[in-house]
Amino acid sequence: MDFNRSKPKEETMKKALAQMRGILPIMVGMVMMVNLVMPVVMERYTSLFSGNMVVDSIIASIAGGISFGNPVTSYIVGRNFLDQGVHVAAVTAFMVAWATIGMVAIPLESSLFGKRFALVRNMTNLIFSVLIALATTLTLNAL
Amino acid sequence: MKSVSANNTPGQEKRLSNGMRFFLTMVGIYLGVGIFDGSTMATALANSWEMLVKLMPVMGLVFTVNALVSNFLPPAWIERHLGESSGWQGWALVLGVSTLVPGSPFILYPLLHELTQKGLKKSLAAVFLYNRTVKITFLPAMTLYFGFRYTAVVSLFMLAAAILSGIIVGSLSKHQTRHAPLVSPGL
Repeated sequence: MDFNRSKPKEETMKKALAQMRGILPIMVGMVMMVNLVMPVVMERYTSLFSGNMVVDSIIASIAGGISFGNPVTSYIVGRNFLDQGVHVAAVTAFMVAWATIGMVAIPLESSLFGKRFALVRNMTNLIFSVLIALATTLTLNAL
Repeated sequence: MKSVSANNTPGQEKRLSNGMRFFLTMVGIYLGVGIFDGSTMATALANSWEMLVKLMPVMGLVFTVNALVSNFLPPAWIERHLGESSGWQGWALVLGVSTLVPGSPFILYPLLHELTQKGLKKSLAAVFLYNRTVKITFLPAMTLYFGFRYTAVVSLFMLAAAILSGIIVGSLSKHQTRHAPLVSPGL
């Protein structure tokens, strides 16, 4: 790898600072949204499930997609769901969606990569989280 | 949403960036919630402040990483190894790196944006974002909570889904006009 040392450092710093200035209001807005929405959503998680594997996987994907945080937090919440009798498919969909979908980050993602990229990516990942949940459950049952 | 920055040329009326509009919308929502439920607003505001204080070092890291990438990673290298013509090696490189490198979305989004501006193809950016969870650092925690068999099965499916997600996102956002950079060329 060759290094581009000729580029003026000042220009690079200015560019990075300008990028930070552009991102900052979106990040602060995202944090505000997460802290307003998450407590409301968290309270209602378990009451969302019906007992049907497919329906619960779809519901869990949406719930996971709205949620935001470290993936390890989703393991703790998921384990808690499992202990409360929620289907393993729904728990899987929830954890996969938590990590791969970022509904609250869509404004940031759209501004950086374009609206179509953000929407296609999040919609594709929503479908994948349901498919992974069902495939995982079927595989574990077969093993 | 076109761009976070409002690039105003002299004579042009100064207008708010989309990012600032989003932030002001959230402030409006908070004020609206505050009218009906002051304690919910106060709690959310206190939690937001706490989270932002925790995020400050992360923002410093984002700044440093972006400055380093911008300074030391030539676009030609990115174009060759992670660009449109990178082939299967680009996919393998991104799958490997995304599995090893830890990073919150706050770091990954700006970093990947910087890299796409320099030639990283969007399908690989999508793979990187998808593969955020299949990480060496997270696997022991998942194994602890759900067991080895479950972790192995989910991780394998997620790796496959990361590739498929990259292919779908890459092909569906291919015809999108190249996105405006965050920073005006004058900077």
